[in-house]
Amino acid sequence: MPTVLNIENLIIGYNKTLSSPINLTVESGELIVLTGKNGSGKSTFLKHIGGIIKPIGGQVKINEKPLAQYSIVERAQLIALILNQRVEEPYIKVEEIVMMGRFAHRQKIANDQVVENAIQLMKLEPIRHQYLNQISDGEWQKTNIARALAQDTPLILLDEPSAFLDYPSKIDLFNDLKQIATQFNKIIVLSTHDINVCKNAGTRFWHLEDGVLHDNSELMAWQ
Amino acid sequence: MYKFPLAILFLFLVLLFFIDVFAVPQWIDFKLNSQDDFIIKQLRFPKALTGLLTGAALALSGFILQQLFRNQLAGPYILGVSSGASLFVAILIILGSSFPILQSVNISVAGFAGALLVLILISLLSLKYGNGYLILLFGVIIGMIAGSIQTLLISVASLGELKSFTMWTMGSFSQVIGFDLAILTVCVFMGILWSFFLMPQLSVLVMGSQIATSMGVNVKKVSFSLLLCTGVLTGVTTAFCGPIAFIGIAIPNLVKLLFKTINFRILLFANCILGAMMAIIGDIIASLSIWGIQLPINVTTTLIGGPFVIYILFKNRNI
Repeated sequence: MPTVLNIENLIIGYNKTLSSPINLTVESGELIVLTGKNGSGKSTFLKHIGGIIKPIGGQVKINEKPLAQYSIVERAQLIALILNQRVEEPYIKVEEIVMMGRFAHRQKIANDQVVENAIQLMKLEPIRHQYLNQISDGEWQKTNIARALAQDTPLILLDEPSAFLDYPSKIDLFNDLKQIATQFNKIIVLSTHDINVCKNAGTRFWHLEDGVLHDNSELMAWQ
Repeated sequence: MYKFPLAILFLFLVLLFFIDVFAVPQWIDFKLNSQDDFIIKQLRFPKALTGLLTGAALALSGFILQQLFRNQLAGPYILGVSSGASLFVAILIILGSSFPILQSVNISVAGFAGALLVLILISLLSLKYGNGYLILLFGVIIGMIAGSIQTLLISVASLGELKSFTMWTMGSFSQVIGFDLAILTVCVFMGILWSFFLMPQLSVLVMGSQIATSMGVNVKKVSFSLLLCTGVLTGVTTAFCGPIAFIGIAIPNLVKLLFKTINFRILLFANCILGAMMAIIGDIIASLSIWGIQLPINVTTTLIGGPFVIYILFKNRNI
């Protein structure tokens, strides 16, 4: 069943208002690239969609039901969130992070076919037994995406996944995400500053500037 | 994968327990005469069991707090729970002579009340503000305030009161018998069981509280439950045995180096077993009466265990 994400009169902001009301509709299979200057509210916007920060006004609906009416576990089965931060715990293995994605469905960290598929898809097989302090930033992002795939949600949100990556890894990352969005019919929303790399990957481009969200089918020229 | 080493450690613990009961300070034959029977049943067994339970409870509390606050320095002391218990015991011992009502109160009841008071404050705050540094800082400051009131009380205490309070702060496993021991046993087992069910949630928290929320963990509820749980574990052990130093902060760090896994249920048992081992080793050394002095338990756990744990930590610093 295709998933529909509705954003209705959403006002971005945590302590202070960062935007005017935003109205958007997104359907399965879209890869949305969110751009905007530092402090424009990209991360906050993603967290509003993910339901972990309440917006100042308006609401986010998934399949016509407001986020607030879903339980935390139900929400975790709909939306996977990847923030741009590394886990400080050094003694966790790559595959254990991926298995953690299953928590949303089974309330325990478990290995099953979904986990194996995610590891295969993100090509993590060679490093699955390595500890987190032994892997690069690019491999950490792949691990995160595999975890989100194991979480098996129709929506994946990523906050600046390409930051800290070298150029080939960035291209690799956007190709992976594009493949996931089309092949598995998922909605992916990601924020980035890498406008040169992302312009071929996105199906839709959102740009946040001065509290207004511009919705385009091509990357907006901005600087 | 870690079940085998866990089983080995458990066997070691059983062995140490038997040594503590039968071999120190003097070997007692299994063919018991009535005097030996009394020593084993009324003195040594309760003491060893108290040590085992206390060690397990403190190491587990330390582990939970270190994970919850994402800080390796956290431990039962740092949240002010032990300080709350100490303050109430100081009030009872030192002001007891002036206020007749206080004389009917048991020391362990006072200790538990003090621990519970601080704990309820902290749990309620965490329900509102999450489990960030703010709560940790609150615990530290509460500890300092309780400490200074304690100092004030000590300054007006008589020599006898001073000695009984100081003896309590040195920690002891040998005062807990009969009904008290039953309460301690039930509370520690309840605490372990309770936290056992929350371990998967706690392990997802390594991702940070926002990601953990997005992965299906009710962070505030889990933090509240776990704080309450560590509060019961620390409160009840401090009340009966005094503030036992070192185990709660050192053992979880040691376990982290030895058991590298996200399976927190394995880590829970590892902490309980190693914490219990540490306490019993401390008790065995204390019972040996080196230089003819019965060393207080806090001295043996810290002076002998401390350098060992520092060695392990530094040896593994770059892993």
